[in-house]
Amino acid sequence: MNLSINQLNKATIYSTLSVLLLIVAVLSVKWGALEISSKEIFHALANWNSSVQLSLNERIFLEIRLPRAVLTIFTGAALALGGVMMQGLFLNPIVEPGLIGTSSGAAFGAALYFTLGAFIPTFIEGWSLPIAACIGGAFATFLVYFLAQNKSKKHTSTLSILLIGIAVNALFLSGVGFLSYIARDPQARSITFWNLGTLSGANWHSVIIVAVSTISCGWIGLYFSKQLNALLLGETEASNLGVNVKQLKIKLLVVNVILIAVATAFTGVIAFVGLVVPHLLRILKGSDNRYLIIGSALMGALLLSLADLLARLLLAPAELPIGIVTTIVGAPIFIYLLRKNEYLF
Amino acid sequence: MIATQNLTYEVNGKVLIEDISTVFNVNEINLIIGANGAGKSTLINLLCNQINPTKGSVIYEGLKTQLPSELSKVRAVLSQHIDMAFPLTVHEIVLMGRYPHFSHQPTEKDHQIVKEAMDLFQINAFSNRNYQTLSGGEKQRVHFARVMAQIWPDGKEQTKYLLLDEPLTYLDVYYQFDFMNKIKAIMQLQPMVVIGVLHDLNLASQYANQVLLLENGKVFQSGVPEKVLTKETISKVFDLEPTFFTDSNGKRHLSF
Repeated sequence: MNLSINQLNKATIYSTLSVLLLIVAVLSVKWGALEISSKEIFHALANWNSSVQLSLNERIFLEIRLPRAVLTIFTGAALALGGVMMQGLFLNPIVEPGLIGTSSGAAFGAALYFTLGAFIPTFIEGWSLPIAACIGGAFATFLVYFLAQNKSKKHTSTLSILLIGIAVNALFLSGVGFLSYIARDPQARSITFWNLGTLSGANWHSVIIVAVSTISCGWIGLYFSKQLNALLLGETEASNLGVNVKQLKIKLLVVNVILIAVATAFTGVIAFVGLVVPHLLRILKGSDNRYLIIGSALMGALLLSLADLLARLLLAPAELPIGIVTTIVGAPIFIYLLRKNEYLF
Repeated sequence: MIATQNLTYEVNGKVLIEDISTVFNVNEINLIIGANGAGKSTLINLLCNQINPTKGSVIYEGLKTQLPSELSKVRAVLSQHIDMAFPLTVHEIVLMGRYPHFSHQPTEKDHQIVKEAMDLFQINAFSNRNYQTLSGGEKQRVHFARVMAQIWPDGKEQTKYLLLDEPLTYLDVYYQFDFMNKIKAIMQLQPMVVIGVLHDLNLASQYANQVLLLENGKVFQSGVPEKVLTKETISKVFDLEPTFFTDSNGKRHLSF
């Protein structure tokens, strides 16, 4: 372990991440099964919403590539933000939304909506899918959270989170499997969609919903960053510093559920982003939560955009589920963290 | 001043603190001593509202409100041992002492106080060190700086409160005395109530203005050290007979 913590300049980290994100985003709208030229991109952007007849490439750019790139950015940011907040809440560096039931619960809620959607009142049309996902995600998360509580220990035991998480995830994912089996909707039928995640379903409707949820939840997270820092000292010390710990925990759980469930409703379960991003950021500049929250939004967006680009290019013109890419990168880091932090068990 | 009235705390029918009514005065160091399981930490937890009394009450005199957010501006608490699951710099941890005082970004004054607190406890040299890599005693000093930054003298007449649960456990002899002397020095600068749990009876007798000797959750005896720390009380409470001797400076020592 390094004795000191790197003192990289925050501004340098943020601007480097932003520039890289911009580059990857541009590449990901250009490259794919077919390449779109810069000229076509500019022409399409200039004639957005006008009556000019657009070429096929230009329409692919406006209706498929661009919403997908933007959805990827907001989804990556949401998953990484969720990881930072959950780790701060559980005081545990191996927690991420995929492990503690949020994602699988949200997937179940969303799959339930697709399968039984006809029975759900439509007065909140357009928002019923994310709301269904939130209810599922909240249910599963609170189930794991309360079952994993151990009154005698101050830390929530890693072992109990993992074991309860495995059980709850298995339960909800098999629920998704059952619903996929009986579903008629083609999207709900694709079990790979839910279990491994894909951004191929992106459209402007989903982009707007995920963007609204990610930006507002990220902003709330930033607002709570000081309290999250105090919580690093443990619940007793945090309350001695004037933090209302009980309220903070409930608020953070709710914010996280919304953040993760809304993204998961449109992309399926994408694992490990919430684990890898905070870890990398901590290596760069420690665990100050204000830095982690801003940094994780940028780095989560960057890494997921990169993963999506790889998912589309590796087997082009076919496409890998993005969860495979994130898992290949994330699983070894997860194992490394588990072994390194044995003392937390 | 902090006063307790008929303070009682029970868990599952077991009485841990029984009917304690006492007063902790301003500008005094109040040290709580007693055998293991006497209820010292429980009493501290009751005093800092970590747990709620079954009966009785804790009163902070001269405070308009006892809301946690307001109390944290004038009262700092140091717990026994703090582990961190994540890497943070020493500076960030000391800055946490100022959290109750600023809303989002620390002010110039907050930074100044953090610097002075770190100077005071000689931890400036590892300002950028990862807390997790420090030794037990160094960690302890970081938290001293943190709690002192929280109640740093601000020139106001408001009484500050410092509650310490076995603060000296991980310190070598030099820093044990160093810490007690620094508390006394800070008490010269502002009205303060200091309450601490201590195991070292010699330190207690040297620094306390009031000693509270606990036995089985009750106050066995309280008052100035000379009155409380006698052969009779100590042999009764600790089951070990002490010998007292006075050194050439006239200071009283006890040994077992």
